[in-house]
Amino acid sequence: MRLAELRELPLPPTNVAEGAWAAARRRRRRTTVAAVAVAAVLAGSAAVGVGIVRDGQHRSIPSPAPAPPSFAPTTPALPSSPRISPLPHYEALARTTTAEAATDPSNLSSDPVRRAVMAIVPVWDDGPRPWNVVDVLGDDGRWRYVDVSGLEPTHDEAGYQFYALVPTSLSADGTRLVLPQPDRVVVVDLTSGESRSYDVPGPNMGVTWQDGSHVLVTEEGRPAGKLLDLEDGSVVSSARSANTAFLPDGSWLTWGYSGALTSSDGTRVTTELPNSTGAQRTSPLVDDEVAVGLGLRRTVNDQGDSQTGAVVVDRHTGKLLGFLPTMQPGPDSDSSYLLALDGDVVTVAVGLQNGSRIVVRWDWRTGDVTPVEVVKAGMISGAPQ
Amino acid sequence: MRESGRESFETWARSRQQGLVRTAYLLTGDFHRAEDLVQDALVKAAARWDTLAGGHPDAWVRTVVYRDQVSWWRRHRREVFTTPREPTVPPAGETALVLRDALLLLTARQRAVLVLRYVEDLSLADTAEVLGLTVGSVKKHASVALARLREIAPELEELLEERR
Repeated sequence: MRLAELRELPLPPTNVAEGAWAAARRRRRRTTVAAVAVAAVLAGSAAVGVGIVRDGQHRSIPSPAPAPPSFAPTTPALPSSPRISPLPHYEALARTTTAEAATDPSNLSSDPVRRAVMAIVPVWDDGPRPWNVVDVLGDDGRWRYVDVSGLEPTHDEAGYQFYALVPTSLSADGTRLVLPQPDRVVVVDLTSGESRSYDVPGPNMGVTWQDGSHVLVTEEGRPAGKLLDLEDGSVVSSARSANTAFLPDGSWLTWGYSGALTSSDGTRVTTELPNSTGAQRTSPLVDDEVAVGLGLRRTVNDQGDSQTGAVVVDRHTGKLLGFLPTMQPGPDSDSSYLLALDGDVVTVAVGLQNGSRIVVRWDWRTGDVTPVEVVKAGMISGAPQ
Repeated sequence: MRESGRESFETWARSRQQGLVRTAYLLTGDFHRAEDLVQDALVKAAARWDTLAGGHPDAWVRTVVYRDQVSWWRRHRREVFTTPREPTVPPAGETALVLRDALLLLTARQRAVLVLRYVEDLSLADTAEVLGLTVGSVKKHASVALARLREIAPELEELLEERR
């Protein structure tokens, strides 16, 4: 007997291939809706099948609308010239939409979720800024607070303080949360409320899920990170930086500080905009055709003034395809976060003057920006699946 | 996801489905779970068939199946430990039955290493690539897994001798 003989193991016939194509079509459509849910949960016409708690009132959101009878048969080619959007008036947009807050959250330990659609650090109207408080919104539309003891804010080399939650904290399936901490990393199982602390030496500030068993842990300003194995707790050095996106098949793409897009297949192209500002604690969004980065500066006039914003590039050539300003020209760091990419639509959370975030959907091909909702949160992490 | 690719995807998927489910069954010990794993991987493959078709879809889907299984096992292992279940589809042959049951007593990653290395016959480097591990970790997991198999299924000594 050899293990290889198991190749001949007799099993009942299967037909799992049947319907896979159609299911992929349906999933793609659902993802479009889910991107809205991830970001905010609401959107009357977008119709997500969850209930939402607002100011103590539970209301149901309608079931998804019936699918149109046919699907667009072709994918449009990438445009030859970039679509540069004007700076939206985010404060005015915020006044046109509703606000979502983590109202009366219950304790996650006694009230776990099946999966979470987003995690936030809340903004409170009164009291201190809750740097180390994390609330999660379950797919049942109810909020919970994560009661991990000893959570601390993180600090960069200059001593600036940051939230324990980062944009990439929530796992893609919404069942786990990973939080960077000084000299450790905390992983919370949202389906049980249990947490585990891993010893990871260093002033950790960034975490990115490489897959279901590994987390890339990064420090501010360092070009490489550490790979944490969640199964045995081992930590090894990794050549990947915080600006890395991992795909379901284990491949990756890094948008380096120099502007180079480096892929796991060995290809390397240069984008027109180096990733030189902000966004050190998030990672790009990537699909088969494009990569989306954030916190990138684009020069807007002969005087050298620049705008900071979200950028879409052709991931195979580095060619600029779209730009959305996310803050006024100036020296301050960007406080926007990428939440989801679905087809031509990028979901972005942009900082407002009152500390909340407005979630918008940006169609980079047309330049259209649609407000989804204001979330009373200083930080948001979404689950894209 | 271009509709024109549907025929080539479905032809490819039908030709691979049985082998993929067999491999997934060896990883999970549960035929229905295996079908779910493969179906989900095929749906993901269909969604990106425009780019996968010209590359290596077999390797891509296999990687997704393995990684999803390890992730799933991580989240549910307490259930596995506390509620051992009978495999849902008994394979023919007593030795195969013992071997399959022995595999199921390993951790998900140990099992994945053995199946990739000795059933799918991948190299150490390719196994490491699929599982996102270093070659050294693959060697370590394989060694520990074989030692564990010796403990729980000494009747498989012939199999294990060749790997020492």
